[in-house]
Amino acid sequence: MMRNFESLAYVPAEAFLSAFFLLALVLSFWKRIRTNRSLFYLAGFFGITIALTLELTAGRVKGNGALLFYGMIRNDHLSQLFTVLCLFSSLFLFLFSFISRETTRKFKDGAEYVLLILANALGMVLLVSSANLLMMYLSLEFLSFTSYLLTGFVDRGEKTSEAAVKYLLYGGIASGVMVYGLSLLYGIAGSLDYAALHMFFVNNTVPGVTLAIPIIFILAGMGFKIAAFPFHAWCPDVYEGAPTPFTAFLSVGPKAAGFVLIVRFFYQIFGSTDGGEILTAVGGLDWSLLFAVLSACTMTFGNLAALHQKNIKRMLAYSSIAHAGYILMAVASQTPFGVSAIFFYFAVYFLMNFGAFLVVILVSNEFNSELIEDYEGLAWKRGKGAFLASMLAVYLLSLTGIPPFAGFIGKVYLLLAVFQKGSSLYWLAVVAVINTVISLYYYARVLQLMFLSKRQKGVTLSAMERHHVVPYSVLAGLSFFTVLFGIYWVPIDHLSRLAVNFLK
Amino acid sequence: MLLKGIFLYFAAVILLSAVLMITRRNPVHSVVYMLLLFFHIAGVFVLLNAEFLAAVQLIVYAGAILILYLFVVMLLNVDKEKLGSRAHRFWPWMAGFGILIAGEVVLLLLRGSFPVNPELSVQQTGAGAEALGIALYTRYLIPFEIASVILLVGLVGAVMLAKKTIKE
Repeated sequence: MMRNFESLAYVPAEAFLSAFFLLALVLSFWKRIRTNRSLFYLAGFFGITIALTLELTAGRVKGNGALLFYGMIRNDHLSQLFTVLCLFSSLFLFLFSFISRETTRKFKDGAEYVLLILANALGMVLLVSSANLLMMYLSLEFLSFTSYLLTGFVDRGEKTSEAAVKYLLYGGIASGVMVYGLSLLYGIAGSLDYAALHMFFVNNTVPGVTLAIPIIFILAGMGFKIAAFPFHAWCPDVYEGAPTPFTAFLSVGPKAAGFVLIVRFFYQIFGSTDGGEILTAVGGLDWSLLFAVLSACTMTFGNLAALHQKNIKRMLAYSSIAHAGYILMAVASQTPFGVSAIFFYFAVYFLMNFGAFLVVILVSNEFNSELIEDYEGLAWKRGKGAFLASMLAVYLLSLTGIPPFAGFIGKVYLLLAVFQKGSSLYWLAVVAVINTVISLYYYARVLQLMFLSKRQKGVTLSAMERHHVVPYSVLAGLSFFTVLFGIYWVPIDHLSRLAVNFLK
Repeated sequence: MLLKGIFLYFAAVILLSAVLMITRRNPVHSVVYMLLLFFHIAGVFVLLNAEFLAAVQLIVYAGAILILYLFVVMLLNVDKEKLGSRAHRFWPWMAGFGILIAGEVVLLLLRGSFPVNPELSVQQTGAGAEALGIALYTRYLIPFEIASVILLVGLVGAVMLAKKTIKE
């Protein structure tokens, strides 16, 4: 366990981000700087890039990592991998904000927008490495606060206000319930530290009810963050009302951070590994079954609700609920391999989800619409139509989980984790496969509208211009990797194997 | 015996003022009962040897948060005629939820195992402001700093929201 100043050397990205946030805040006081929107966007973009570089070049972790700041923060492979993932998603948020018309034309100065994104990134990287209930709760709140503000940032009328207020109220209640659960847990075990909590539950038996109540309360806060079934109600409205670049980001970065929070909490406190392939549950709580039920409900609900959506952002919101359900399968598997599968899935989900949302942004830049019916005959429109439609097809097929796209391999990993647990969870795998079939329906509906209908409806597309080069090459790059990792996924597999090391 | 008597007095007033707080029609009266509630909770903290917490309870809750409530009540300019009964149509749900939480607390107290003796832990770590300060600036330095950044973000957000309404 390291003291405060010694620890600083191990968290270069976090330290840089906090310093850069404060610097940017001070700089934004000067009017000449703050009215120059591109300058501020660029500064934010480079800030995240530097943090990313620092994280990538930081010293490799040995073994199962080190506890920093008196055990508040844990620096291990899991936290490093997800820090990189989260920072990349912040980077894409900046990139998309450059591209989208909502975030370039609709507000005059973007200083606060950039500041909030930087703070949001800091919250995420702290969340993925916290190893103490207090630190975990604080960074969760940090992430939530900035998310509420960013949701309501671009004023698009009633929808935005509804989204932001709903998000705030849901988040406030979820975190209130969660902190109540945390205080009960503290009352039972007398410690906030994950390792100490683990030792307590190994050595003491706690009656079932006493433990179940705090765990369910804590799950409310976690379920809210990842938009799992009973706590998902905010998700579609927020996704629809928030600026599209932020919607894309919300379904990847914060969700990944939320999953790391779940993994750390349950694997480190309520799981014990003896080098075996399956963890044994500690504390007399069958959390494998708990997550299996949660996962089955989440994916089924998400897919069924997505079936008849008219707005593509709402459809993708329900689809992201369903994907959270798929990923929860890996948590339910209670295996170290499950953690690898979660990282693997998020790495590919990052590509396909950001890709799909980039198409949505580009189309709404052209048509100023997010309705699915306006995608009719997109493939046959002159100019960029065919390209946009085929790109969206790649991402949607990958989201469904059809080979040869990366989404398929991601689903295989999740199912492998479930099979490793043994016959008690086979039913969950069956539910997942049925759900994949259901999801094919609404993804394919968009494809059918784009490709099979030749009706030329609505606005024509603008001609290709010079500033379109960046977004279109990003689009092509994302789809290239979506296909590449569907055929050759060894690099991600190697990385995801590292994630397990925190359990050793 | 004397301590027990004092505690019972505090507990009784806390319960009474909490009930009065949620049943009064006039929101300003509710806020005043809440003030009474906060003062007596601070008293319980003093009984537990946690003077610092008692002071914070008074300064933060009775001082700052209560004034905020009063401001909101004042700014909303609630019309007394329109207030009607405080028991609106959801009250059975709310009562049910309250009974659920109360039942849970009773269940935890009866069946649960709480190895931590609250009085003991306060005395061990030292309850005074000094011990708290040392803990905040050593073990809990990082959470403390993060909390300050969260407040800063809140400030930035407030400025952003306020500015937007002026512009339109």
